[in-house]
Amino acid sequence: MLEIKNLHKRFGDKEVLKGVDLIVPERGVYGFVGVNGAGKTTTMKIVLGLLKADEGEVKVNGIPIAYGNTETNKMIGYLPDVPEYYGYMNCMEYLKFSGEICGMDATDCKRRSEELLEMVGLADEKHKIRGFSRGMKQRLGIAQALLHRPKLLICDEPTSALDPVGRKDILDVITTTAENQDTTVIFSTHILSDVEHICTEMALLNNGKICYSGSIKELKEMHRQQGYIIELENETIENPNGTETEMRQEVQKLLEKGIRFKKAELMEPSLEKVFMEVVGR
Amino acid sequence: MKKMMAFIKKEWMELKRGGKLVVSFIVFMLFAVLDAGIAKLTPVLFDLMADELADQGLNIIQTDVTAAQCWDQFNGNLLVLFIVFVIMFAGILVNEYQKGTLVLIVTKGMPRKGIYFAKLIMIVAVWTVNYAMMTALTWFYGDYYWDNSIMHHMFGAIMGIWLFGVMLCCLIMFFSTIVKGMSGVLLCIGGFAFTCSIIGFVPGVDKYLPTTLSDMMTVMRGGADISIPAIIICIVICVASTIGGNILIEKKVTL
Repeated sequence: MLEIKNLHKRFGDKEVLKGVDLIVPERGVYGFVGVNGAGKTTTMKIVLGLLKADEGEVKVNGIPIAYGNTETNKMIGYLPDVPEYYGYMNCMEYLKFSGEICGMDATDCKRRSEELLEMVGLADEKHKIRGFSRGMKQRLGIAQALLHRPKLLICDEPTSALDPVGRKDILDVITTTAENQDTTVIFSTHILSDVEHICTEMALLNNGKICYSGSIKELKEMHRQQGYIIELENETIENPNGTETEMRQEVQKLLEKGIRFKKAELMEPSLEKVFMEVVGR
Repeated sequence: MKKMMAFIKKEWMELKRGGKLVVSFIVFMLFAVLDAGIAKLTPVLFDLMADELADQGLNIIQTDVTAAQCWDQFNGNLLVLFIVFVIMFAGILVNEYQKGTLVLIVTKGMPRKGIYFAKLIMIVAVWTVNYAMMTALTWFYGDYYWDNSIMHHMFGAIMGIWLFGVMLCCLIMFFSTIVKGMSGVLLCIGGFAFTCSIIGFVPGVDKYLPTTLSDMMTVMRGGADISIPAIIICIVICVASTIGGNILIEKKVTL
């Protein structure tokens, strides 16, 4: 769906992107992870044609993008971290305006708007956007981004500015979108728990380069530590260097002795821990 | 074209709901009423002040008011009107950058040139309609109370002032692609007017300056012809600033 090759971007003396290579497959939610200032937004803006790349190639659904070129944007929906609207409009008026900009038929636009507002929980909201909370603006952001049925939805840190309830709402809507709307979602964020929650695959951007891309499960597997924990009734047996075979043997011994235990598990590395390891912190 | 029409409709809604349309209409109409009102009240004011002025040694014998006084007021008020208009519309594009409202629209496929022209068309339309109504009202009062036929080159003079207003609209848009905030646009317009007035000190240069078109009283009184070079330079500035603005908005990194 999205193919990025050797992408370079420099702002003055600072080289933000140092040869980003990335392939995002069709369907599902793809995590795009990096610390603040890693270059996530710069990459996304280049994909959207808002910034000019110094070097490299970006293709959306096989079509190369160019700075200022709006052709590929017909296939892309964009949700920024803090979307800004015309406060004097209400949801329906904003979506109608967006539909006209996208060149949608008026009837189709109205039907689609109603459907999307229902999906994001703003169907009964008749007030002007200026009175909306951040969470509501973010939900409207998803509706406007999906209005023209894009093949690719770019969400640039959509949960960063939200409270836990707003975050959960947005994550749920994004998951629903990926499942029901025939849209590939790129979820750019630095909040790792969000990525773990809704993505199956991800790319890690660090120091202007992709240092990992693939499934989250495989990434954790690669960084799996030796070690296991067995919780007994009153104590815990922890072996940080033990293997799976050793854990099985230990469990067998406990069973033979008739000692009851609550659980036995191999140490699972958290994505946060893996992330820290990968970025070398 | 459809996209630009959609954006023009949005601009119309913004001006209407933001109250700018009503406020600008009221301001222009107020100036029109003031033009005739002050001219009409001048003899009354002088009569009221006659005793006080006589004490200071000034004797007012007779005050004849003609349409010329009405158009004098019209020209005299134009400077304030231009300042109010520029302040009112200086933020038409830069406010969108500052709020970030254009990002979603541009990523939806709205061409930047379309945004530029939609806003320029809207601002010129507001200026034209309000100015036309103000001029028509002043004309009506001038003819109703006095006689407009004593004035000279009226059509040309009125069109000259309109052209100056259009140039201001073009400059607002052009400067909006260079600076980041509304104060920057105001400073640039002020700088332009200041530069023109400085150049105007050079003898003989006056007739080439577009600012000559902002006060047409001498022309209306028959003391001079409309300066064709000033009109040509004004049109050149309109065209050049629009071309320049379109090039710059395409290159603008932060929307």
